[in-house]
Amino acid sequence: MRVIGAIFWKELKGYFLSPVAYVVLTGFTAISGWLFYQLLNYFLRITNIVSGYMVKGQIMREWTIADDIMGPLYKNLSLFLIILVPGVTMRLFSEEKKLKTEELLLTAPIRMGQVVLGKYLASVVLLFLMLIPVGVYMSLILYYGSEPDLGTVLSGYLGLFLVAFSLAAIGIFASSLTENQIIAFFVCAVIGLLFFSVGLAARSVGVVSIFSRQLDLGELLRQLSLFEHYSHIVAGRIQLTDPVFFLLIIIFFLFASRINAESARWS
Amino acid sequence: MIEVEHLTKYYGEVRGIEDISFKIGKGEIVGFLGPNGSGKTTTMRILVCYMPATSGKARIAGFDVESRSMEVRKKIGYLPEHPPLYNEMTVRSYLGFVGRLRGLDRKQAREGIERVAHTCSLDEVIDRMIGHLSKGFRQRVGLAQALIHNPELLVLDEPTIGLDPKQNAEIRSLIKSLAGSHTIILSTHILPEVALTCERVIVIHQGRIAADARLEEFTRGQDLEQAFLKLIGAEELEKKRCE
Repeated sequence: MRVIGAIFWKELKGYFLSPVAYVVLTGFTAISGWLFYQLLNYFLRITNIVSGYMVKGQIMREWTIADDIMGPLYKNLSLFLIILVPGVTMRLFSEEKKLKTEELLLTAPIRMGQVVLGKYLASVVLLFLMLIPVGVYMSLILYYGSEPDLGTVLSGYLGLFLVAFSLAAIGIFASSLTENQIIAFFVCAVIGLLFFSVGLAARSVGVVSIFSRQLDLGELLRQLSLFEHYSHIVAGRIQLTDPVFFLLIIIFFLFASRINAESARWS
Repeated sequence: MIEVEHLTKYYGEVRGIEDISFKIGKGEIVGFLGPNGSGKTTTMRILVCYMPATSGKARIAGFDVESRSMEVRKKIGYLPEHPPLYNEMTVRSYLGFVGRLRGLDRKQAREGIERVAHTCSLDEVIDRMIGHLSKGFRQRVGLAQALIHNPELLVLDEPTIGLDPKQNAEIRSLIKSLAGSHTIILSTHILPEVALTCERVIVIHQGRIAADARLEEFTRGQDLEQAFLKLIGAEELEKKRCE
């Protein structure tokens, strides 16, 4: 705990001693606020005209706050996270490599797992602070909205945290690969995009047979897709596999980062 | 204090060091002397548990550097060739951070900062940011970092490289003042430095030990430079250059 705490506070202070925290916090607040305002505005205008999604004069589905304001807000913000999270995590290990300070960490009586965890927690706290404004919008909706679907709105917000924390784990892994922060940024963004988009391919691949065994490749890709799981959560249809998926991503990439961080010893 | 037996390290096909053996007693100041790329840093990195050796054994205070690595790391203060400094931290918070990593509690860390700030003459810059310090001060912060937990063994990789003569003399006298209470290994390719600080010299050349002797025996009659060049076979080269 002592070591994790020391690393955690050092990294968290580092965020606030450099422009990173301020850029990320103001940037995300501005973008999410603007997006929330637009969605709310659109919702108010359209509900004045018609109360639902119409096909041939019949209302197929009513507009709801959960599905038509918060849902799109959460989904769009998750895409912004793909850009913002790598910016938060890219320096965590790259800088240690570049400034040769990893020699200090590798020769101190500490375990690399503690270092990874301390750094991860620092980025998680910054991302938590970053997502607080979204909670404010949500509270506004819950307070003023007429009978909003509380469960759906809340689960979507939690889903946003899960996406941010998963991307942070991917970002730490990317940072442990290289001493170049720009490369770390893009590696994280690309892995993130892959996890987001892999589900898109699911529609065009169905069941394939490999070694005379039937394999539902489409379903497999869907299960691997971060966006697919996230969509379940945003829509309020959480299954056990959804949080488990995010948890596995976090554990896997933190573990991989630990191995990577030790790799300087193998030269 | 240190026992090294047949230590060998290969980087893939490239030889780092081969069959290095020596013993260092408590309280000795030993200089690793050798040209650049001779294997000084490799030897030190194995001793401080930065990386494992390909073969051979090294024990520090009776603990094997590979199997009892955590115990060994607690006993060592290490100043790498590039001091591992975080530019955005103040000297005080940096030393506190390293103290925590080294296993000190808050109170011990505070005391440690006071102590090393005094021994390394850092009092005037203790609340300045490391990124704003001059090279001499940075080197001293690096040394302070290695001393914060009052280790039994100090490993200093080229502690005076890149310093001006005055800073050089300061660091040297600092190292000398630490003698007795600490065992010290320092590496250098600057000859006078060994003569001025160390009691014993281990010359490493092309990954092997070329000489291991007390300073007086090593130089015996001739000056250090002659002895050193003779050992590494550069005498011929020198003659040719003179002609």
